[in-house]
Amino acid sequence: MNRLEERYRRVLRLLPASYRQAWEEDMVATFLHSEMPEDAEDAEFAVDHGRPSWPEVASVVALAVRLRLGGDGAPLRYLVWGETVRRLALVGLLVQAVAALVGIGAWLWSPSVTNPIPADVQTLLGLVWVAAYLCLVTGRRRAARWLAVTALAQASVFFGVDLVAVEGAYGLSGTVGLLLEALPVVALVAFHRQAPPVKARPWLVALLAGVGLLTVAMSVTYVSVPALVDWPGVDCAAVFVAAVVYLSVPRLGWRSAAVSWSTTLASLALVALVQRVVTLLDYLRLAARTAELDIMIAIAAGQTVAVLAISVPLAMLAVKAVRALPPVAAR
Amino acid sequence: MAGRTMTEQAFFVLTALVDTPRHGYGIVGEVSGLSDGRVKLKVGTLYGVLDRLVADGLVEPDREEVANGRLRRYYRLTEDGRTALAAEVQRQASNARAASERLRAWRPADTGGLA
Repeated sequence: MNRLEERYRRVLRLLPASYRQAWEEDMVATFLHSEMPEDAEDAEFAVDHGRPSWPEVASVVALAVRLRLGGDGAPLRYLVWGETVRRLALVGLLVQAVAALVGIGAWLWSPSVTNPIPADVQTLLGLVWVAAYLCLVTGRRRAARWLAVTALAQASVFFGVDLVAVEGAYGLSGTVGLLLEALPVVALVAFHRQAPPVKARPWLVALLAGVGLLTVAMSVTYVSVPALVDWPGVDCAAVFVAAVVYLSVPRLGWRSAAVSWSTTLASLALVALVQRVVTLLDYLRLAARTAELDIMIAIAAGQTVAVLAISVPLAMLAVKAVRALPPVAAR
Repeated sequence: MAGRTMTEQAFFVLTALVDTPRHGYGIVGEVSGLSDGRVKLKVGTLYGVLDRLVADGLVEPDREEVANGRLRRYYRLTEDGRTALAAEVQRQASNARAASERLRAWRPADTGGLA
């Protein structure tokens, strides 16, 4: 085996073993034939010093992602991973869309009164998240991808501006928050051509329900306990309630759907937990301690414990369900 | 592939296999020729497409040969593949017809055309 072949086979290790078993020799033969220069001297050099080009590597990476995040016709195990990542993308965009709509609603309702969300350009630009979500659930995947990337880019710019304004006071939670916002955007890669269409109605209902619930919850909490509620707290509450409902109701329906909901909820609990812990660390680092801050720290600590407690049975259920899936057979 | 439009790559791979079975590199070269060099299939892309076409029953392995110490697998078009390609050709021809009729009927506004 020459160096070029060795390097290409190393790239092919990204592919699932079952796929490699069926296609590797073919792929290697085609690759070597395509890459070999006609001139004998150049060919000799390529054999010893050549490397797969970036476009060739990218094509293998894209294939590996599509195979592992399976869609129609994929082995059950890969279908479950695909469903999980697609749901993470949907839920992530749903959260952004709900937050954006509630923010705009609050701004329209009382623009002159102090709002929990600043009535500025950033609030209006939140509509890009809403557009991305609506495009995704109605099958306009390419548009959804571009809109989500645009929304993330504008969120990054505003994060940079905020970071300068508060002199890095919330640098850790802000950075981690931005990375978590990027997760659903990256997860959109799971919506490839083999991914089944999204059932629009439940996700549109979820958007309306989310806006309604969050509006009520924010109205109540900001009237009774202003400034004691933060976004990570809202996310923790949402994940906790969803997990409790999921664990209390006997699993019904299609097997892979049940498995992928376990993995989705376990992943969401992890995201909420990370978000909660880093904001808690930022609160603890603040120098000016007030009674209000102490209460917020106590609430955040309580939420951390609650989400951690619900994450354990969720993770156990997810691991058990994934282990029970049949292994992927060679094609 | 039912209910889904055919990608350009899949279209060219099927077209490359109409006249004779070909191996991977043969398909890459043929697709490049058919598309006047516009579509250059990367190996990962080719086998992603080929794998789906085999799974959908539009293409099947034909034979294996050893060349320069390497196993070379040839693929051929199935009857379903031929039917799917013919349907796609008809769809594209119909689209092209509609567009060219529009273009033929179009005249700039100041010459009294449809614009």
